[in-house]
Formats: sequence, structure tokens, C-alpha cells
Amino acid sequence: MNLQGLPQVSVPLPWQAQAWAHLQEQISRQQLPHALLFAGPAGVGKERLALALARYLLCYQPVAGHNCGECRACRYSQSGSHGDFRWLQPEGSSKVIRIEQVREAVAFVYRTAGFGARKVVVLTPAERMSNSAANALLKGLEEPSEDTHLILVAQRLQGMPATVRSRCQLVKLPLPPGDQCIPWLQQVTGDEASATELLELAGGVPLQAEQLYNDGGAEPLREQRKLLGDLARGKVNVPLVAARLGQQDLAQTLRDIALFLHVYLCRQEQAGLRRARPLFQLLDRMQALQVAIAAGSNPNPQLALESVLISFADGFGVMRSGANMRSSSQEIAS
Amino acid sequence: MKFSISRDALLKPLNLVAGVVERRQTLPILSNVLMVLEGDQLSLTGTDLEVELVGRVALPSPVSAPGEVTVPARKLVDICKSLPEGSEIQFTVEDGKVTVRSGRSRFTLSTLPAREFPAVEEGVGTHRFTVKQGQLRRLIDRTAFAMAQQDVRYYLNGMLLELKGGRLRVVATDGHRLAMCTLPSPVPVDEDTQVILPRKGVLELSRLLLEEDQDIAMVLGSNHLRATTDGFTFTSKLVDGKFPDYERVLPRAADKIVLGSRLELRQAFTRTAILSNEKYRGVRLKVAPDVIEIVANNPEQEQAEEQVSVDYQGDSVEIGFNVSYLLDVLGVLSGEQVKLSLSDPNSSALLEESEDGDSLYVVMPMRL
Repeated sequence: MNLQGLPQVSVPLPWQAQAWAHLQEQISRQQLPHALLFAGPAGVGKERLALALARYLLCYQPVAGHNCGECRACRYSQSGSHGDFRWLQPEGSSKVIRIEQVREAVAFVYRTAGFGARKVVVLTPAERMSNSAANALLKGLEEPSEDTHLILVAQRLQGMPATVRSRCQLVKLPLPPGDQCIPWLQQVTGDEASATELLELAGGVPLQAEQLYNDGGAEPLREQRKLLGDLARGKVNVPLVAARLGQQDLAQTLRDIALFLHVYLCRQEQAGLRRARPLFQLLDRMQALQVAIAAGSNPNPQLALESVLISFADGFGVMRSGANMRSSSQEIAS
Repeated sequence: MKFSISRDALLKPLNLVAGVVERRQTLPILSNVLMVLEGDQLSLTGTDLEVELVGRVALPSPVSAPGEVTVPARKLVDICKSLPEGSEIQFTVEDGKVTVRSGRSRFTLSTLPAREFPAVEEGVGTHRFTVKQGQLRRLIDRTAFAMAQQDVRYYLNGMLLELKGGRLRVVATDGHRLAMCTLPSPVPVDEDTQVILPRKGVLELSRLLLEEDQDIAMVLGSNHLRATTDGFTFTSKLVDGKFPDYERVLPRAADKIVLGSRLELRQAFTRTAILSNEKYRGVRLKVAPDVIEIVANNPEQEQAEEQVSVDYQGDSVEIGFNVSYLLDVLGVLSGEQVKLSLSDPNSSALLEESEDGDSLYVVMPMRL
């Protein structure tokens, strides 16, 4: 996340209202834990909530439940140069948060505050800490100096050492229901119909829908969906699809395929699900592959993609060979 | 904003200020130096969010238009350094660019808005006092080597400055050895206090103490330490923690007092250290009347033995030490004689220069 040139005021997203109110209450009662863990799927705005909370904590005179945007602390946090605020994320081409970063942050945790009363450290994504980095964090996470808050942001809780998890208060941020996202998305896109369509395209993930709108990724994604739909119905063959999909980043492609499968499987009835075992196996395999890529392994993109697509085509082949082939292929088409 | 200044007047403060600015900065503004022009004074500020240094230079003539701007520190230093000695440098700020002119050279530097530069506010310190730079330098030089590095006991990664009963004392320890130095002259403050200056702050501060006889005004607060000299203002964050009670570590019951020549002992230790275990650096001291025998051996079964005559009367004792710790102490001590006080092989040794020295060193023994 880029921390320079932020808006004057950072507010939480509408569907985070409940979590936000809870945090506010903890702050007003001076019971906010020093270590928080924001966990939830990608694209629900965990980092935005962390940023809003951090800037709220640093602000001299918060107003109306968010930072004021006027004071010196807000000005510094707006330009990313607040001395009592650290935002740790993988730097440069690195995929992990390195131990040096964590050590520096731990030293920061034990320094006095330079600008206001509080200090804030945000660590994101926390599951990308190397093992040694996580161990270096433990002491500081457990007992930071007073008025210091560490906010960890994680997608996969299980990807973090239990020693880190157990030292934090968990704040779960699940995927919000569509009706909470659409009014917000409507402000971005302009009208409700396109907001609904975008949200569906993004598999119900609001920030992804926003991104699709902003970088114009909706049209290619629609085409890609159609292509996968055709492959599922056996209308096109694997090499053709692989050649088309192989043009973009493998990790991104895997996410798209997984999303397609999820949406499809969610619409199946019991009978369909029984036959969908190969597809579930494929999802498991893709998940393992995604974890490996996130951890820095570097598979041959073409081979990996083709092998996934072959299983994909085979899996749908099994689905089609079932009793009511006609109805299920209609489902795919929709 | 427009002014001109001689290269040589600018270079010295600029160099020191840019030294604080870290090379590897994720935030662009932190690799910049803040230039503030007010009246006939130019101040330069560099920060890494932990240590801030302000350098001040007087301009030959007051300028009409005050202003402030930030420019890339490293590039500005490199430009000023490579200009010929004795040249005049002209600065002009226009449309978010700084133009640096000197003779027939012309450089245009990018800027960032000064309001984004995180300068520490004029803090409210609770304790103020003034010492000579030479005095402070001595306190730091005598103890800084004993500070811990990246210890999990974070409060050891720095130096304790203590004001107690009108006297200033600094203490540094890494848990294996302790160094303590007290300012002989009293410091007029009413209240006692303790602050821990982080390691980086100690090293930066000692770089500023160049003029032995000049005053340095110190302000200790709950969050900051600020030191002001004629040309500079240094501000550092503190370590937020409680320093261990060092008084309890000082050996009280030492009854075996050894007096020896500092240089002879130091040379003997340096030689025996060659054949000590490279990792643990252990040497054995056999103290007997009028002589210390120093023995070291390593895993390769090589052995070094040395005898140094000393002034000692009493029972024999055999005690092991990490020779690096002893050498560190003998390196900062001055004077002909060194006094070593021991009690038994399991108790710490006390090293000092003579009866009326201002420094004390405690070294823990090793079981060999």
C-alpha cells in the first residue's frame, strides 16, 4: 500500500462500521489492546481499516469518529512522514517481511514517542513474515512500551505462527454481504446496475470490484470468464485457452480460475456436488500452488497453467457426463 | 527565497546534518534536508525520525525573503563538496525547484514541501543543565563501548544518563560488563532523573562534540534528549524503559586489590588473546603475591602464558575472564596504573585507574 499522498481523512469502509464502533469504544474506555490482528479474505479493506485506526490513534483531536485531517499529526501521516508511525510490508521485489525490518520496528516500539502520545506499527501481510522475523517480533508484540499499538493484517491466519496469533486480539473482517457493498461501489461507478454487475464479476469482493473499475480490467475479465465457460462446456481446447490466459501473471490467473470455480460450485445442487469431486481436488491443488508462489517459489507458468486447465477441463467433463447434462451446461452458460 | 553563502561555511554543518540522514530511506522526504531561512540565519535539518540534527549558519547579509524548502541531502552534499574551495554558492528557489549556482556551474534540484518534513517540536524538557563539550565527550568515550547491541533487553541498547544529587553520571552495560563514568564537577539541577539515550543517539551525539572548551546545553525530557551547541541542535528519542539498578552490580566485598602497570597488562593480554578460544575469548588469571600469570588456550591445544609483575599481597586466586572485555577497559583507561579488585573466582572484578578516578568498570568472570 502506498502511504504517500493519502487523503486528508482516512475513514473505515461502510461494512466495517461494526468493527470500527467496537474499536472506538475500546479506545474511549482506554482498553484498546496493544496488539490487534485484522483477519479476513483479500479485498475487504483490512489495510484501510488499519490505516484509519492508525491515523485516528495518532491524531491530536479526532472528530466524528475519524482523524481530523487538520492537525500536525494528520498532516504528517497524510504525507507518510509521521515519526511515530511505521508501516511494514515486503519491500522492493522481496515477497517477505525481512527480519531487519522487524528488528527496526521492535527498536521503534521501545523508543519514546516523538510527536504525540502514541505510536503505531502496522504489519501487512503478517503471514509473509519469515520465521525468524516472526520470532524477532514476539517480545515486542507481547510487551511493547506504553501507548504503543501493533496492528497485524493477515489473510491466512494459519499461515502465521501460533505464537504470534496468540499474542493478538483477533478482529475478524469477513466478506461483507452484497447489499452493504453496492451503495459504496455505486459512489465509485456512478450507477447501481454497473455496481451490481462489477461486484458479481469480482466474486463479491468489493475492493476488487473497485480495482476492476479503476484499471479497466472488467472487460478482459468478462472475456476470460466466457473463455473458461467455453472450456467448461468443451467448446474450446486447453492449448487455446492456455495461450490466451498465459499472457497475464500466473498468480492472478490462478485467482481468477479459482473464483470461477467457486462461483460455479456455489450454484450446484447436491447431485451436482457429488460429481464435483475432481473440481474440489483441483481447487486444493491450486491453493497449494498459490501458497507456494506467495512463498517465493517460481514454477514454469506455462506448464503450471496447462496442467491446471487440463484438470479443469477433465473435471467439467465429469460434470457433463452426469445425468442431466443439459441443465448443468445451461448453468455454466449463465 | 534567495541567498548566497560561501562553500566552506556551508559544507561543515551540511556534512554533519547529512550524516544523520539514512541512505536507504523508504520515505523520500527523509532523504531530504530541510533548509529554513530566517533573518541572516540559515538552518539545516536532517532526521531519520529517531535522531534529528539542526545545523545553523550565519549568512553574511540578512535576506529579504525568508522561506523554507527541502532538497535531497546526499546530492546537495556531493555538489558542495565537489565545488572548488573558497567559492560562493547561490541558492534560488523557484516553482518547486532549487537552483544552485557557483561560478559557471548550475544545478537544478527537486524539492519537497517543507510542511511535510517531520521536525520535532520545541519540546518541553524538565531538566536543563550546561556542561563543557569535552566533559560530555569524556563521559561518552569512557563508557560507550559497553553498550549492548540488539539485545532483547532493549533498555541495554543505549546509555543511561543519570542526574542524582546534583551530579551527572553515565552508565552502559551489556549484561556481561558495565562501564560507569561520573562528572567530577556538580551539575546544578534540583530534581533527579534518568534517561536512556539509544545507541544511535550516543554515536551521533559524540560526533558533534568537537570543541573541547565550548559549552553544550542539555535538556532532558520524558520523550527527548536535546543538546544545543553554538552551531547545532541535536534531538534524539529515548529508550522507553527502566535501566537496571546498576548500583547492585558494583562489587562491594572485593578484598584482593591488585595494582599493575596498565600498558604492561594490556600488552600481555593482547598477546595471550591470540591463542584464546576465538569464540569465547577466555583467559585464566592466576593472581599470586607480586605476579599475575595469564594463561590462554584454544581448542587446538595451543597455549599462551605470560607473567606480569604487579603490586599484590594476599592469597592466591585463579579466575577466568573474557579477554576482549578486559582489553576494552584497558583501552579507554588512561594513567600509568590500573587497579583490579577481586574477591573470588565467581564474583565480578572491578577495574579503575586509581583511587580518585572518575570511571568504574565491572567485568563478570568466566568459568573456564
